[in-house]
Amino acid sequence: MPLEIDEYAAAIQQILSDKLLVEVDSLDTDLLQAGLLDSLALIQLLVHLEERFAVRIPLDELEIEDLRSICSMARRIARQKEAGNGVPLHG
Amino acid sequence: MNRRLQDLLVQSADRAPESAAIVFQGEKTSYAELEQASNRLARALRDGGCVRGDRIALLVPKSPEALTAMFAALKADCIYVPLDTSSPTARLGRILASCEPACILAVQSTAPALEDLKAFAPGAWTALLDEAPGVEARFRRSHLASYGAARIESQSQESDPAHILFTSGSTGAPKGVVITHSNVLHFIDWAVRYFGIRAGDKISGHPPLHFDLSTFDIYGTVAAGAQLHLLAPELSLLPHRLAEYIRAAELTQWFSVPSILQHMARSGVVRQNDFPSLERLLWCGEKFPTPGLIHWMQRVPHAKFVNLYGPTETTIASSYYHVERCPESETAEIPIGGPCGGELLLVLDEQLRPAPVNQIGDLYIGGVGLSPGYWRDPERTRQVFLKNPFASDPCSRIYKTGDLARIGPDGLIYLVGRSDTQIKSRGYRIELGEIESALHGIAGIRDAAVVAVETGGFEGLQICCAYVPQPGFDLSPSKLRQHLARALPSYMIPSRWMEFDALPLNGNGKIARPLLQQQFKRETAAAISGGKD
Repeated sequence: MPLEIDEYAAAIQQILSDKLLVEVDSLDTDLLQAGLLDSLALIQLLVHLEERFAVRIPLDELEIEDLRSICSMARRIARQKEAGNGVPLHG
Repeated sequence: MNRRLQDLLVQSADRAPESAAIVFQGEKTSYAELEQASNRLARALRDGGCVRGDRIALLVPKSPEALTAMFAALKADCIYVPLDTSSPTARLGRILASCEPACILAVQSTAPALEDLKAFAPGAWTALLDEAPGVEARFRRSHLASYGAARIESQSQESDPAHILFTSGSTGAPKGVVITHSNVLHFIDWAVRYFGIRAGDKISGHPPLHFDLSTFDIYGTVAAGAQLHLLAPELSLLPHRLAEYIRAAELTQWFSVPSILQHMARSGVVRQNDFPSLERLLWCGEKFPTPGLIHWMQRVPHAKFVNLYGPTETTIASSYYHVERCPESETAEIPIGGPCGGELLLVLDEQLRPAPVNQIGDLYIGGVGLSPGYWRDPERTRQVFLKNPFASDPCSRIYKTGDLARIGPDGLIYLVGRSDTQIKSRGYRIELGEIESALHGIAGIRDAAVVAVETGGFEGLQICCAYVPQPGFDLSPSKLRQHLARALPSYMIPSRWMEFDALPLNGNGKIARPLLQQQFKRETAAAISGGKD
């Protein structure tokens, strides 16, 4: 059963806070305008997202707008899952 | 002849009014449009009471409007201060309080910050470069049409300040480096000649506008009547998009800090014989690791690779080195080379005597790029801008860069390190003291020290914070980060944290920073060998 977009969003906010120590007030906050995401943070975030959701998100398939906010990232992950690009979990 | 930066635009607009001066997000702005829009805005600024020497703060993201505002400020005989729009209000406030602008120019996306910022600049009025309905302003874009677009005469002299660039300051307050028209023009004259920049060039505009590297992109382009491609900052997050842009736009010149080139190399987005239009690739701001340079030189063999070096205080770059052949070894050391036209680079010992070949000394810079000093800070200016001991002219000065260097047997200058705690992280110049000062301002912090640790990864130096909470305070790294984000831009916030009961001290009772660095390094090594958590 795939997760709902708001569940992905909540998880992304949690990862940003716990793993990258970046606090984002709202799911719609413009991360790019606020300068909250840099290239290093983005790569770390992708690694965590791949682990957490068992989905492969190649950097070179991303568009700038996918990274605009937590919501847009959640939509991107949901699309990736629907497209069947999920990798099976171990075991 | 009295030459000013705005004259470069006037001349190019006369020569080729219809040529594109700026390309941004698919939209072109012609030289005539840039000239006329800046004339209108300059008249509006004068109408608002701005006079020669007034500061105009630009709270405007990278865009054609921001460049229009720069030229308008210069045409109105004023000094512009480009602000980092992603910096927290508290830091911007300190900059405004220091430069005391007559006017703050903003746009709708930055207008929400104005409310708080006005308190730091009580004498300033505000104006908007777009419509921004509902925001209070003396004028907005639609009012500008009522001002004349014809050429406007300026009174400014080439020795007048053109802009003030604020950089990280070790005592906590950002310091303003005053740059004159003449400082920039001298470098541009040399660079246009040396690189052969011409009207057909398509030039990258990668650095943010509050970085002095961007002034080369802007004025070098306009001097040659070329085309400036302003790159949105978020493009740097996705290296393949950046590569696609260089290819599709057929850029002929790329100029940036090395970290983005490193990021592109590591992401494998540069193909063999890629970017066929690219004639030159220039970098500045920090060392380009040799493996990354080799990666680029092997794949883009048709381009000229040039390392530029120079702090903001000496304007854009003071030395250059053309890497003629691809280095054979990944450990080959790339020099910063020799002086650009009109510049003077000296490696001196503690008594200000020239250091012998291969002996490490302090790097000093003199010559045409030398800033008059820090904005309203004669004491700090005196500390680092010294009388030139080798000149008969008593007004001749040299700037102590804080960089350690040696002159090789080949006569070229090689950088060795820093004599203080300033670091470069992803091209950003950061005084660790500014971070420590912000940490000490957080309630519940008893002691804190910030060190930089080389990671070996493409991110280069990592900023690490060791802190001691006061008893009874629960300070997690996440909470500390949140506090710091209110005082510092995101690139200055430490990425690694360690809590201590007390900071380790050396024999003199000072914080033992090398010990802290070792501890953070050990922790990194353990994390890597231990695998995932």
